[in-house]
Amino acid sequence: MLKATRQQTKTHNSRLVLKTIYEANEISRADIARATHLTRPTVSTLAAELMDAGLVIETGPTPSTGGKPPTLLAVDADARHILCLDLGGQSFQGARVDLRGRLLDRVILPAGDMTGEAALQLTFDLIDRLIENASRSPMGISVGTPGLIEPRAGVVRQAIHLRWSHLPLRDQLAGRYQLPILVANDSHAAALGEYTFGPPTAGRNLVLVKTGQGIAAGVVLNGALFYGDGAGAGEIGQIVVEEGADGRPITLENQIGTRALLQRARQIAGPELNWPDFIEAVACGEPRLAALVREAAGFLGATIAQLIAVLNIQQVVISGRLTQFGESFREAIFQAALRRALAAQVEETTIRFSTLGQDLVILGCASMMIRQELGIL
Amino acid sequence: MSSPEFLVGLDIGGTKSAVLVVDRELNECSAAVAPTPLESSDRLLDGLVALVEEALRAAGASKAAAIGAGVPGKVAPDTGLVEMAVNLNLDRYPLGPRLARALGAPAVLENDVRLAAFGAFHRLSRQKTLANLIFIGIGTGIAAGIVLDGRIFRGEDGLAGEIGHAVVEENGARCSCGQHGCLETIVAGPALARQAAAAGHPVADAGEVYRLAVAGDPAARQIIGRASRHLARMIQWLALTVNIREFVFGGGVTRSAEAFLEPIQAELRGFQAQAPFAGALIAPLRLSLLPADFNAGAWGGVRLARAHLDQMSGQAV
Repeated sequence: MLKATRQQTKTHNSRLVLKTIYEANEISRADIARATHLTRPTVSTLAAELMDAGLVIETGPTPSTGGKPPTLLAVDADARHILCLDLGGQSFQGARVDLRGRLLDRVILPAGDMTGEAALQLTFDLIDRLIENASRSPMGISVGTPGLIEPRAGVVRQAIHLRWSHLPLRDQLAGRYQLPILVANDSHAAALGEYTFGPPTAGRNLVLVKTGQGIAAGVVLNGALFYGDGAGAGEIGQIVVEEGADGRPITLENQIGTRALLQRARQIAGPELNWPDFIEAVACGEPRLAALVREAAGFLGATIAQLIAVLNIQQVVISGRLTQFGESFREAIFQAALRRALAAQVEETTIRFSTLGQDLVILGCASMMIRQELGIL
Repeated sequence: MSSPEFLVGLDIGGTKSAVLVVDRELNECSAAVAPTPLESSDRLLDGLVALVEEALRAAGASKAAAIGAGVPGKVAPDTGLVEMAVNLNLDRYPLGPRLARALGAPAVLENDVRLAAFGAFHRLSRQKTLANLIFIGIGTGIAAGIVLDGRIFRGEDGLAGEIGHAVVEENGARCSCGQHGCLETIVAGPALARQAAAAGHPVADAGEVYRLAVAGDPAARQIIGRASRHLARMIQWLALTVNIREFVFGGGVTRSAEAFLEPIQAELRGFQAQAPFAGALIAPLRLSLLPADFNAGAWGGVRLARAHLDQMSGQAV
């Protein structure tokens, strides 16, 4: 086995100390030493370096328990900012985010049907605007985009709606901005955003299902994003859930994606029906539309059941427009999952809606960059 | 290091157990098989210890550096506790610590299917660069072992890979677990034999159903076709969900080799033709069978023992 070099050990220990402070919110040097099994002098040296780097600050003493109260250390959430981009949907969104996932600035640029070079130019514009608004340089730029992404190389292998193919987005952005760059699939980023900034849980595994016109998931296993061999993990929208009348397979996306679902609803309620009215009608209990949504819940529940059975996932979070169908939709998904996997396993599982709303991908992008650059989270 | 460098892999089965002893370069030094004593937990422990000691003697070793053992049931790898192993009559039994004390070396436990997955992973890793692999064992039941980034994946509760009780046919046949239409009721050995009997072919085992299907018997072809379709769907599902490309099959039902594998491959080709995008993700799938003479469980045990020693020495630095 390779012996760790002194520099590697030092970096490792420094990250460990920073992580310990970050997770504790406020902690004394003595408690850091206890938690990390590092010596007091080592902790003091590393803490001093982290303070020099501006990452850690001293805060007030602990409530006195007699004797000289120890000074507490905390991570300065404002010490580093990350520029985060969400390129999904009808507009490109960007935000400057601090180390605790707070959005300090937000820029939204309408993207319309922009594709190819124009979409790339819009991405540059978005970043330029965020940089102009900031008083100092960010720690890095982190981009979530739809499509099949090769995360290690930061290449967009294929993003159908943006008409990007084999686009070396990371290298292009790195060349232009001279900053650390990360590129990820937006559903993958969303899953990490939920895992990092969603309600805290003991579990280390989570699946986030992003619903819209497309259906895709991000998979967090053992506390880290899992990409799969072809970086295509989570493409649950492509699962065949039924056979059509013509014998052709129907995928989950073509069954319950918002476009497909609205189309079916229009066959029931007429061609004028729009999405908000559809939601409203279901909320009011229109029987045939409600039955359609229950059926959709059944398909999603069956897929989630399999996730629970095979991966032993206990946190399943749903985001996006299907969550507008509300609690009865969520309950129907859970009941469908119960019919499709061992009750004992499903009952240990929480199926819930994300509360992070529009910012999920942005937050995931922040989490990725903080993990890479600082080793915390 | 001057400590003994013989590693022991132990595959504990419901009828027989196999042991493998290797040196530090992972060359096989000895192997042995014996019936698993099931009268009591004491007899089981004594039997396993005797089996390991015999193999160590045959290898010219006085003692093992570490032991990795696979158990058909639910285990807690951190503590070496067998939480439940119905086929071994064990219920909350500290097999790991007992083996360790009797053999004077650390003993690490893992579920047998996961350990076989680990063995299969390292076997293929000698031939190519590999990060992830799914092993599917089909015999009296069906379960998967998942290796992610070179490590055994257990899930939140140690239940990852329990694909046998995923319900794939609502209103299907009743399963021993109480549900209806579990994958196990369609593709496992007893399920294949039962379906054949119901179709008027009283068969001795699943292998016979495969032989009948290859010979063109319509009822057998239908049974195997249905099982293959469901297995292919599960593989497609796994490919789309976790995007893993390497699938290895083992266990009694898979002994029919080509008769087992070919119908699954054909189903997957059908999926690809029908769904181009999904097909692109599925296209590079590699399906293979464990060689009949390769004890994936025992080899997985050896690798687990090795990983344990590496981890210990890593912590000491």
